[in-house]
Amino acid sequence: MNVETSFDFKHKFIEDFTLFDSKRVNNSSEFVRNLRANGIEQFKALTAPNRKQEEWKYTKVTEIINKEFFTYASRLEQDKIDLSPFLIEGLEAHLIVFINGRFSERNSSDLSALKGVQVGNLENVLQNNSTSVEKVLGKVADTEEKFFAALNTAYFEDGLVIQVADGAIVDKPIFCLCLSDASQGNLMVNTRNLLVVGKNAQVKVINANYSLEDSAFVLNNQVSEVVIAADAIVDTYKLQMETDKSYHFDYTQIHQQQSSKFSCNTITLGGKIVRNDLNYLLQGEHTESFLNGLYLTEGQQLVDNHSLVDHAVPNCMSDEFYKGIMAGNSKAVFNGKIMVRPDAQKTNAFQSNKNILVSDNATINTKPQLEIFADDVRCTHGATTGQLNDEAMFYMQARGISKEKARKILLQSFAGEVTERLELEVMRDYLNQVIEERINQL
Amino acid sequence: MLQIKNLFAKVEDKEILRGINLEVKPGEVHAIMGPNGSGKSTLASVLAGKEDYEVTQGEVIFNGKELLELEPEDRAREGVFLAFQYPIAIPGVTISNFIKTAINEKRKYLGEEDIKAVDFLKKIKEKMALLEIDSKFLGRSLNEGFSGGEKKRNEILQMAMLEPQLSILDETDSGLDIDALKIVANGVNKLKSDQNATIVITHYQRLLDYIVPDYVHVLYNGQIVKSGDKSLALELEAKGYDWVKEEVASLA
Ligand SMILES: Nc1ncnc2c1ncn2[C@@H]1O[C@H](COP(=O)(O)OP(=O)(O)OP(=O)(O)O)[C@@H](O)[C@H]1O
Ligand SMILES: [Mg+2]
Repeated sequence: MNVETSFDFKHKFIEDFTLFDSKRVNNSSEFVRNLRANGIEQFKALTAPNRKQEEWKYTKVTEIINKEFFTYASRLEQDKIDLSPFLIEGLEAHLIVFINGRFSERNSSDLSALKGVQVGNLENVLQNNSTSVEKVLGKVADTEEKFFAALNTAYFEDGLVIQVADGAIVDKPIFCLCLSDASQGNLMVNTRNLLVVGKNAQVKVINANYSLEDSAFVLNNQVSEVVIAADAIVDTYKLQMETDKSYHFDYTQIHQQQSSKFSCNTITLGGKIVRNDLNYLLQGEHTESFLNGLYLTEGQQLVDNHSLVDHAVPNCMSDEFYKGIMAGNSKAVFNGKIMVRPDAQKTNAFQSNKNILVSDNATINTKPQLEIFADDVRCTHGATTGQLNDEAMFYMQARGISKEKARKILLQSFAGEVTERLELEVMRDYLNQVIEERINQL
Repeated sequence: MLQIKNLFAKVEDKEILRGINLEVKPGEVHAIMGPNGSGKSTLASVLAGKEDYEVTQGEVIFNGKELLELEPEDRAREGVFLAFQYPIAIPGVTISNFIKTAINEKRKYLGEEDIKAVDFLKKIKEKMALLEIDSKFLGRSLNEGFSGGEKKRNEILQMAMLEPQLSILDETDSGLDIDALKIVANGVNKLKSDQNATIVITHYQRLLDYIVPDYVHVLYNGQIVKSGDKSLALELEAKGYDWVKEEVASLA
């Protein structure tokens, strides 16, 4: 039965593709048309995710592929939107706004004259200076076995493009706000983001996702391709804050060159079904890679964090630290794969996933996956799942702190172990506050 | 202040306290000694309100109130303080925030305003000086990575800040080096008044040289089998518990 419905979803996008592509034939380069064609071929060859597939064992997407989504966002409003609910107090940043996956110039800062960095939208870059991104677009992400990512390759139109020049230290974080508006019906947004950082350069990037309007469902389908040159230091944040009328897929592929440092901090507080695939390929020695994650789920939410750190060369360090608090009937999945290839001697790889279930009906499936083919490596991993610590609760109560308050304090401090790892102080403060409010409601 | 009458308690169907009687008056110091596993920590936990223990008989009156009817937090707010034998680490919560929260929870219960930040800081610095605790501890996560002795000192710091009426110190001396023992004992003595009382659970006479008890009780098999003045502690130190056990056996 599922096969039939998934066929519909697939069938529709295969059918629609010819029209979609032909409408854009005049303003698409050969390069982009080939890429799209390749994407739809990959998509055709794939079966929709189902629980027989190891990678989707715990994450059911039936409710998504049973729905019909439109891919076009009629070029909605270019009005100024009140962005204040989505901004971070105290954060000074270069702001770039996308609404339903399309760049909204009016709502963005003036990005025309930034020093050492070009920040823009993919549609524009492809039209004016396509060659600058052709080495990256479609070359970093491997969508061959990824149903939603392949669909993204076939249907992407716009996205965030950041190119940092060699040696440039970008003065302020780049804050990309992705807003969705489903007022015209179920909508699929295929965003394609590129982050290319030159040698010795430094930048911080925030990608924040919110629902503006959620009378219908949004399928927010993002693919990001990231190339970090030697000695660069890059700190990125993903804030996934949509409502429970939103499905969010994020596939991010990172290529890291020698002695670079890259952090990705994934904070998931919203979304009905969220699936992240965060993949690092370490191509140069002496890199440092950080993967921090925090998910707070409730109701019927499902948050699935898949990650892969591919130690392809020696002498690299990776550190993955994910924590979750699950309430209601929510579910979370953690699957962290560390691959240490035969050449990758002296690898240091750490991984930790800790979870607290605050309801009897919440579940977590956590699975560390170490594939180690070198002998001189140091890998540690650990996963824990538990309820709130009774001993700690009693200790606090014995000091006069009410049970309710003790519970909140424990949950906050549990989550705080992730936020304290964030380098951006304003982000830390902001998230601690948001988390506190969230926990108070649990 | 505290009357324990014929108190029985069990855990997982195992009877641990088997008829405890004890009266503590303001201004008094009581020492409770006894072999390992005799029920000393259990008594302390039952008084503090730990859920694992089921009271099957008896009652405890604290300042005229049925202590066993109160939630653990309300017992603390009423003025009962337990210094844990094994303090718990709470990562991510600083000592400073923890103690401030505890103080304000008590104040709220008593219908008082929150403590002012400056007053709090002044007071905690004072108490830390008294207990010779480095001020960098303020910002550290509660008991996380603390040495055994540091944990015990931190317990007494909390006691000093919360100003309880009845303090129960469960083996606060274990894990303390000789200098720290003096400092902590001195701290406890300074906090003593004719309004409050202390129950000291210990294995060693040494602590009682500094915190001088008015009464010494021997807890054995869940009962107080012998009581005396401070000389009893000296006798136990010299002779061990066998003679007490024999006395109990001959009575049975
Ligand atoms: N939660 C529990 N579950 C099972 N048994 C328990 C529990 N708590 C205490 N006990 C048992 O009750 C008895 C008394 O323990 P308690 O900790 O009160 O002894 P104690 O006198 O404090 O000993 P010590 O001098 O070693 O600290 C012991 O046999 C102990 O194993
Ligand atoms: Mg004990």
